[in-house]
Amino acid sequence: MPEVYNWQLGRRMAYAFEEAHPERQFVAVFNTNRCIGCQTCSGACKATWTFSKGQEAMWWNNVETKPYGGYPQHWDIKILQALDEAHSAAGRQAAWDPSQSGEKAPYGQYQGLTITEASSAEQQALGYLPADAEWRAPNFYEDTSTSYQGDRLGISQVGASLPEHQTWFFYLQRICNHCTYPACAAACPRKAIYKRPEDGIVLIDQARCRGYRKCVEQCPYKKPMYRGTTRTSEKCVACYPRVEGRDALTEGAAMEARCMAVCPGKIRLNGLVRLQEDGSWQEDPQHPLYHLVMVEQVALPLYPQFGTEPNIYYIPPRWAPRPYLRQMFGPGVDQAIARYTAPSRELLAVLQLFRTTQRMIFRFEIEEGPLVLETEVNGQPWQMYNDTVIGFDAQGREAVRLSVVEPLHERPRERLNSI
Amino acid sequence: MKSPPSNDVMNAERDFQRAQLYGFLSTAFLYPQENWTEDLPQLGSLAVDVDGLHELLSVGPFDLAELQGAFRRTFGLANPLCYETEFGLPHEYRQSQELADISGFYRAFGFTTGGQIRERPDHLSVELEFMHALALKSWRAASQDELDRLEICREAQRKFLGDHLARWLGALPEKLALTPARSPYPELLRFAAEYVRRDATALGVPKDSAPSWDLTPFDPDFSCEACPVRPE
Repeated sequence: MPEVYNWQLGRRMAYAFEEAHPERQFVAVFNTNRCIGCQTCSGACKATWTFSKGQEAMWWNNVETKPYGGYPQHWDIKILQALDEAHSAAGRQAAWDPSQSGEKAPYGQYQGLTITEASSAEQQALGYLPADAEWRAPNFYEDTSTSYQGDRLGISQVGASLPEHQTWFFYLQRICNHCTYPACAAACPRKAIYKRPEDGIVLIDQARCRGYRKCVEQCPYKKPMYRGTTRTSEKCVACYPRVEGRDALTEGAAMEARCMAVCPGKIRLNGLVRLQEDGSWQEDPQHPLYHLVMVEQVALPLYPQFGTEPNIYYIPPRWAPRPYLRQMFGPGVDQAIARYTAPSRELLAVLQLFRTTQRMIFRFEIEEGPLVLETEVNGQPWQMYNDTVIGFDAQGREAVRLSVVEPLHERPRERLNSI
Repeated sequence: MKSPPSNDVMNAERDFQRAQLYGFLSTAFLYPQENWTEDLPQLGSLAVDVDGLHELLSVGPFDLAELQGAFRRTFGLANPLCYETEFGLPHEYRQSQELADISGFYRAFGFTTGGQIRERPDHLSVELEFMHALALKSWRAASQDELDRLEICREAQRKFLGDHLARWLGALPEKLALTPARSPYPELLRFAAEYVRRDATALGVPKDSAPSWDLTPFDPDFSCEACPVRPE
């Protein structure tokens, strides 16, 4: 297998194809702290793309309740277990070396095996085929938390407080990660899966697909799905017509995917980041996604140890146990939560941009405002300023302008009952 | 307490693999619009120990134009080899009854011929595609634990193989004995016949003791001379 550089792992790794990168990459950041599990994103995706016969198992977008939930059921536990067994067989440890961190390795260096390195001779990537029953529901164990251990009745006498809750769950929002090194594309025996050079979106060519389900088997995130009515596999298409700016609404400007644009919890920010020839992100600190992922490093990839370099990033939930989160999001979790809990002036402004416009934001500016709050966070002084953040679309036009403190509009007394 | 899954459910994956293989064969016996030899490596995992697999995997390489040429040379423009009712019937008047029987199988499961590719119901590809659809239905029923539906699909496959596909497919490889060199179709046909024979055995289809593989006569002799009970 050729070797490619995976910056999330901080090292080169084996992959089925030679390294080749798109001009820009479809990227999103999901803030798990704000998700209310309403599945509006799932509904919007279905209403847009998977509405017809056979749609019942097509949850291109789903929100699952961690730690028990998953779609398909226990997908993460099963692939982690398989990876663990591969490590045991090889006498290796799935450890990270933070001392190797640097500009090209922000999380340090992963010294374990990736799914492409742990695969057998018959597979391009380590994987398994879920049974049909495991696809029956998109959110098994909805809202099921871990149990409280301290009381016979399961009731805490002292309540819960950060940094970790004993009784916890959180929602994990999932779409295709449009990986830099997609295992589905590596697995496909007909080369029906490709990554677009203009935006890095990974698509399954429905005309070439014969439904061998190798992508279903070898995508570690289990996001390609086999559809019996078409006898082909399908997956999230990243709403590519919107990304291309073909919707008349924005006059040619790139738009966020439907699941991002409908989110009532305002947890999603979606855009395109420019890549350099070697696949690294072009330095652009005024790009909101670059700022969140590279500058502040509050948004982290999901299971980076799989080695596919996923392009959906998550701001981890503050209350879940850290070992669980480190396994899920890598070694950057503690720093990410610390920075999110006491955000810098810039970060707080950028966090306001989530889901405020359907247009993708390519640049932001901040107009400084007055100090409005002085307090302590985790024993450290922290100030909040009512800055104004301005987002600009693909054409450089102002797309959105909003302040950190949400403006309060009081209805005049004479119109209290008017609509 | 929930009962453990039955063997049928456990074997759902085998039905999916059968569906994949029947689907591949169905496409491969049509005039090639795509190069089906690209898919041959997949057969290795779908039909590991079937006789003829190794020979089939060794054919080629063929590009699409070569494959189309091979198809024309092998089956000819009239393509009579690919139709079930061209074989084994006492005379051509029986064809309509046989075609009705085959179509009855399709209609019982909601299928009709036509669409993008128009072929007779007794074309090899159409019969293989029907088996593909039934195997896929079996997979679906087994994985949903719907055992009554599974048994309906299995029974239909048994009957269809016994009455039609498995009964006549075995004779085709011999009919291609004069095929010119440089064609993957003899190997494909030998593999298909062997696979269908094994599948029929696995499903419990009784063997046809003495099938007739003569071409169905277009001009049968109804005179007293041709009568098998005529006095010597």
